[in-house]
Amino acid sequence: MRRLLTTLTGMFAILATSITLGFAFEPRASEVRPTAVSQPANAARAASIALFEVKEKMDRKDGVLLVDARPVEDYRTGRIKGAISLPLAQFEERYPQVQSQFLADTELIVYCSGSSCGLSSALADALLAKGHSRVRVFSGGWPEWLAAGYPTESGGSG
Amino acid sequence: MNRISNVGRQLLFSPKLALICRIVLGLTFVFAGWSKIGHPAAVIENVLSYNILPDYLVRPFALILPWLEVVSGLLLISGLLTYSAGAMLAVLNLTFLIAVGVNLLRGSSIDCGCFGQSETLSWWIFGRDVVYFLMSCQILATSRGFLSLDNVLLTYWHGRSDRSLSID
Repeated sequence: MRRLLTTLTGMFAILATSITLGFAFEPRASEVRPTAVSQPANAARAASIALFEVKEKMDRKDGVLLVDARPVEDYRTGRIKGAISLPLAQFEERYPQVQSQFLADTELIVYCSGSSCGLSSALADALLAKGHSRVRVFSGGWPEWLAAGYPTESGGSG
Repeated sequence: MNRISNVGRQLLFSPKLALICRIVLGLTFVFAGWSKIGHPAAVIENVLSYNILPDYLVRPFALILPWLEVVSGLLLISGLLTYSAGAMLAVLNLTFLIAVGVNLLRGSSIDCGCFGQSETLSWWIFGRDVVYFLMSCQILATSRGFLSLDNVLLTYWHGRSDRSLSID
């Protein structure tokens, strides 16, 4: 019994130390490194955009609209605050419903589940093909946004 | 038959085997944790791909996990809080086993994210985690470690209390 108590106390101490170290050495948003340096095989023709630039544009409310290319279930579970859902798999079906939000001077920033996810590049290509010239791909996507601790939201109908 | 079970029992409770397990497991987890520190976005991407934790827990988990691995690994190598570090790694390994097993059964071909290198999930990785889990259980099964700081501190502590008793 005493050995069990000592072991549990030690485990608690290890956990507390790890939590302290984890949050003490938490990288600042500006230090969050991209998840990968290489471009995905199906890189979009749209230009890419870095995390800090996305945040700056969001803060300035600089005529940007974030577009989530992931499946609706992932969008509902968690997303960048203010993003709209346009899953690549349902593009033709969903595009007419969200098209009204894509004003002529609005810059569309497309993202998905990170560097290994090709959905954002493919969605950017589809949007370019629909005639939207101001489309950029945030290839760090949801994981990089989460890592930076920037505002998120969940729920909604997508 | 009896002889085999005796050998098995001796092996299970062998302090020398526990020392080997401590060093191998300790070094493995220090390396695994160290390769993740400073790369929260990559760890988050990886944890998300397992599709097990809710999104709001992913960030704290990704920040704490590397340190949990490094701290437990270092304690195991030095033999300080040996049981606690062994139990912590047993819990961690069990968690990894469940996460890997569930995704293998789902048929996901995701990156393991184990040592900061690209390694697709496979039954080989599951088997490796089983070995790590058994190693941590072996550490828990043996008496307080051979060549460990726990032993040094306990000897020092008992020496001091014996001396104070004799002074009294």
